[in-house]
Amino acid sequence: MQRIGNDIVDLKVAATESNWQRKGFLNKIFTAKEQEYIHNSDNKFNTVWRLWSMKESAYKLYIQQNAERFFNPKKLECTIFSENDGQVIIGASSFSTSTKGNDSFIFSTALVDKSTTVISCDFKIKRGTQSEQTYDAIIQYFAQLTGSKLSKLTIHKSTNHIPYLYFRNKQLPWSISLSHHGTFGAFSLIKN
Amino acid sequence: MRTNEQMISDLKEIVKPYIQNQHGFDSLTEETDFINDLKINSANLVDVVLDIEDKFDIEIDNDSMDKMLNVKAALEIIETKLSEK
Repeated sequence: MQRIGNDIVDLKVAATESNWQRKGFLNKIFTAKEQEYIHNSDNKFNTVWRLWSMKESAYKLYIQQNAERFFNPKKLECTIFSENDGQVIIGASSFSTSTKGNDSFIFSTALVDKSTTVISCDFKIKRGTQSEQTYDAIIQYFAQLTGSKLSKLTIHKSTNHIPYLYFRNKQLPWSISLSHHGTFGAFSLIKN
Repeated sequence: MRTNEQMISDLKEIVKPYIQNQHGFDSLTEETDFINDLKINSANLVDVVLDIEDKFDIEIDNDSMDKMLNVKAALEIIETKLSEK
């Protein structure tokens, strides 16, 4: 089964929620090589959050394969190939990442096989009910895409907090990933 | 020596600025998960670790941080690091 992980960062919110220049912050998250990327970057703030979203998207994919959760950002190491393409290594696993963004947000998706066809969508949401709005967005999109009846589509999370799409309470052979942060939401899906 | 209640109360003070689920915070126990129950975003979990280091004057290495997903694990790591001082 092909799986996907994604992560969106609202840059305005990231600027207020986190102080990346706080003493010790970068060192807890980024390897020496990643810190080089940041130091050599014209836009350090953006590079911090690009690397972060790469790691998060890869982590979300990784824990679907290896049930055990962990909190150790340096266990993941990013390589940047281009403005969009990158790679994240976690132990013996390697993931291809694709990142897009602008001044407002950064959005990364991670895959095992980068030739996999992915549908991804990012959108504005209101703060307060971000997860509900993200659920609604993917369900509405999926209903249109497949001609399925909207009211029969639901999302349930596994015990490991991984979301799956259901139609009439039957799990569908799609892998999905959902993310929201601040005023941005995103979903990604691949068919298996 | 701090009691367990004091440790939990110190930890509550530390996580307070980062929580996004007040109910989870109000009913915090040792089993409370920082991300799933308190909805602390994972970037802020780094701040929680740094705040713990500052508050208790300890250093939390990456291997210890690895398990720090809930209150119980955090308390255990703090106690271990304090006993090593």
